[in-house]
Amino acid sequence: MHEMSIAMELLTLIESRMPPHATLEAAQVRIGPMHGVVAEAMQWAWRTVVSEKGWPQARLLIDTPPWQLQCPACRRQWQPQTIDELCTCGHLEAKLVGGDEFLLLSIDVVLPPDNAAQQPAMSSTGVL
Amino acid sequence: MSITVPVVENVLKVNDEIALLNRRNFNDAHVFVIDLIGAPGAGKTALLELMLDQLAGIVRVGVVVGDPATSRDGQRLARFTRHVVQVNTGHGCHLDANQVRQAITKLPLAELDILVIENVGNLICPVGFDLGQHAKVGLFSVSEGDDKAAKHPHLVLTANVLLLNKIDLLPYVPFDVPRFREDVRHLNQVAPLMEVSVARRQIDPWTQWLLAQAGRPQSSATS
Ligand SMILES: Nc1nc2c(ncn2[C@@H]2O[C@H](COP(=O)(O)OP(=O)(O)OP(=O)(O)O)[C@@H](O)[C@H]2O)c(=O)[nH]1
Ligand SMILES: [Mg+2]
Ligand SMILES: [Zn+2]
Repeated sequence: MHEMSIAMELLTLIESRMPPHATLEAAQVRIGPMHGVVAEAMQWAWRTVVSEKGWPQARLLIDTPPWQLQCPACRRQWQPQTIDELCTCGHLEAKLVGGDEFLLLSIDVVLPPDNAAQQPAMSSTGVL
Repeated sequence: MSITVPVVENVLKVNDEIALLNRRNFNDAHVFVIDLIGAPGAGKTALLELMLDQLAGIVRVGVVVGDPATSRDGQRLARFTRHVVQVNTGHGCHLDANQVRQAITKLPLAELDILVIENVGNLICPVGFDLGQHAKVGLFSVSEGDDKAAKHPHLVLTANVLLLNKIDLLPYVPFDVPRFREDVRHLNQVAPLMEVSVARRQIDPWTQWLLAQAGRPQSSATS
């Protein structure tokens, strides 16, 4: 469910960064565990939204960074198993410094041939 | 020819920009806006009904309510205020800034003191989407189990207030309140955690907090 909204949001951003008349081949994203994205569900949602746009071949490469906590007392930074882990020094209030990322890193696109000033190969459908 | 275009941008950027516009409108109209987030059935609409009832004649409250398919919550709330807008989110599982932007064109913002946005029942998805609210409120309930704060860190981390509803059920269901409090405190040392029971009409700490916020100049509640 949740992944569908994220896929739509992602595609909106990608479209705003596409060169004119280009075709999307792949997108690289970084999604921290905080966003609760399930990789399989995300791939399925992605497949749905890119197919609607006429780019059914477009791949989604997801990079999942780990949780990162930092202790305000001893400055130790570590990758916890769960987000509520305590620091080894016993301090109670570790600060979240990683795991909440939600970034589009890059996109791979195929440009039309130089002289192709005609219609893009994949006119957007607008059909649900 | 295939090329790689580096982007490195926040995926929620478009949403965040619209949320900023909403927040400006809210500030200009001097209306205090909360985003109410909680699991299905936690009691979001019930809390709103009681609030609207108790605050009638004290402050003017409007509501935007998101629901995947029905207008039932909107109908329940319309008994208490004229200023209700229902948004059907369809296959989206949360409200986004643009939907709120459309919804508020149907409300006389300048005539309101408080606007509550009831988000779609869901603990994960609505959290990352800024709507332009001044405060995010996370609503948990006793019947969901005491592990939900720990399991949904994103909501607990970003909430300005946390409510634990249905405390009237504590004698009947296993729910370790101290443990729940501890989980919350690990994640968020600032947000107050208030225990309420809508069924018993005990929501005083919450309405007090709300009235205090609404009476304040909006700029101090906004970042
Ligand atoms: N025992 C008890 N039941 C409550 C309390 N508050 C709400 N309920 C009940 O919980 C059920 C769900 O309440 P709603 O207000 O519809 O919940 P909601 O969060 O708006 O649900 P969705 O909009 O579907 O996500 C209703 O049957 C309410 O009567 C409470 O404090 N105690
Ligand atoms: Mg409801
Ligand atoms: Zn430490």
